[in-house]
Amino acid sequence: MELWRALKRNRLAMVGAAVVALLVVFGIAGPWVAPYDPLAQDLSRGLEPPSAEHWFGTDTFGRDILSRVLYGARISLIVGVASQAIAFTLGVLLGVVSGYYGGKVDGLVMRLADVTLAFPTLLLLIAITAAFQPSLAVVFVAIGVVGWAGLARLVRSQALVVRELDFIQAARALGMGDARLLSRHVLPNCLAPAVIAVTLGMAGAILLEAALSFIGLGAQPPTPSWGSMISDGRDLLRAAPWISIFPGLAIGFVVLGFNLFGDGLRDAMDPRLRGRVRRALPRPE
Amino acid sequence: MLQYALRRIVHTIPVLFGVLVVTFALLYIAPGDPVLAMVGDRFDPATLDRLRAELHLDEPVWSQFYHYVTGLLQGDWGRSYMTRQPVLAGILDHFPKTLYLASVAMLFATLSGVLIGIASAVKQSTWIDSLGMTFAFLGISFPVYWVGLVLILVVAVSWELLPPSGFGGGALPYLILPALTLGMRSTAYIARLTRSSMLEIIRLDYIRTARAKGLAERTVIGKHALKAALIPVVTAIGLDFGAYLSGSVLTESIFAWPGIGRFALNAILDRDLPVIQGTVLFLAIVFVLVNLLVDLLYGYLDPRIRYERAGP
Repeated sequence: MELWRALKRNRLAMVGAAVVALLVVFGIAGPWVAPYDPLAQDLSRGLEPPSAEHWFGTDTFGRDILSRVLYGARISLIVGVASQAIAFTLGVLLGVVSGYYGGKVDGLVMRLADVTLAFPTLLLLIAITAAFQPSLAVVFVAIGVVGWAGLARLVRSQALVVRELDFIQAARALGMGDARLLSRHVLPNCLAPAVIAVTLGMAGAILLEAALSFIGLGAQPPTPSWGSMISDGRDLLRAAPWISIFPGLAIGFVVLGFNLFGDGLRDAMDPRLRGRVRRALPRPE
Repeated sequence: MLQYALRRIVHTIPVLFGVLVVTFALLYIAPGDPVLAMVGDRFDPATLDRLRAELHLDEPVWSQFYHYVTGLLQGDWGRSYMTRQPVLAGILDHFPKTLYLASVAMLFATLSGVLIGIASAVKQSTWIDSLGMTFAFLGISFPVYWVGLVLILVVAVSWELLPPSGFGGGALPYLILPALTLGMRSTAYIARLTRSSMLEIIRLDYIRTARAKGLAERTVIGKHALKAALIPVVTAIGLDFGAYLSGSVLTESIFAWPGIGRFALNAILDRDLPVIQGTVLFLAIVFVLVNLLVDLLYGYLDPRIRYERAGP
């Protein structure tokens, strides 16, 4: 409740929250709100500029861009949520265990994290997705699997602090077992940075998916992913710029929303994390 | 410092080994038979067996890995399936162009990012600050390749001021748009970092002292505050530079810039596995080494770091 009050005072964070809410609404209700079928072709009406009938214009195949952008929201939402759920689960579990137990486990997990972070993110993702058949599922699993490392580092450093706190020592002295101590006391006290990282990580995941789809390694045609829509219009930039412009605006708008909301969340939860969280995230380009 | 540096350097060895394992695994898990990819449609079984033996593909995994690593160390990075050219030669041919683009982009990003950051901090809560930070937020939110396309559309196609793409022998007009595009994200990030770092510093006692003893504002900001405020910025610049050297895949592809990013991307589209494997390995090594340098530089600039990190 206190968190919500702090968030509400931050106007930019509320703008961000509104954008995120909008993405969720369109991600779920897109198919009902969209004026046309996003896959329906009408070759006689190809490359029409924005008009009252087609607000965002049409593409080469006469498909309605607005409807495709609305459907694209669903893909971005799915990729964001699914990839961050994977990254969160792996990162938090490994981070807590690593920080709490220390020693060999810690050494092993942190070396694995070092190796993961040694690769430039987009390049590693490109290599992974290229090694498999390109599909959306491969994309979000890959983004999640690559994203665990930064999260684990963040959570670990928090766990290192928490395990030394008096109440943990007291619980241990009273005979509480490791498993219970970890799940009841250590884990909940390590979650704040992870939650912030995952919110900002959504922004990164959406950008990464769009980049992969732009290259042709993500969503396959005719699926309307924002990244592949930008790529569709790439060679028609002069004749029909709207094909690429609108999906790009949609990406920027949504990513901006997550960035504003994530920063607001960080300031409300723990301003000392400023800078540390973003550093832990994979670079989205 | 020496102890810190040594510790940091030793720390890179297992990381590089891990990088080797991952790039090796990449080729190993990829579907399709590499030998079939090499010989094409017409082949006889004897050739296949001979090639398999030559490439050690008939041996156990660990032995293949051993041959892979020793081959790399001897400069044998494999040959492209498409062009039959040695992979390492291709990499060394394309890398300088990426280095050139990345350096110019970083120079631009550093100068403009730091300036925007200082202006925003000094004029905190004015329209200058709002403008600067709006740009900073937009800059980290919009996809780089999209911004590149919009720049091409506006500057090159509509206004016809600059060429839309190509290398042009490295001439300045060809460099401007890709460098602006590539540097945009860093500009935005550096601007935010400089601003918040500057805001923290200006409130410190020694700055108040500097003002109290009557120094001009310009000297206080430019000399005393900036020096301390830039320490975290230096790290960001270094890390971004490392990322540019390795990750300009999208910008290079948009602007048809013949660097290593485009080289890697073309290999991926052709499923030319030795080239993919080689470029990923090379770029990861560059990335690790640049990060190492940044850490050493940071330790040198900020003594607190080397003691803190050298701790237990």
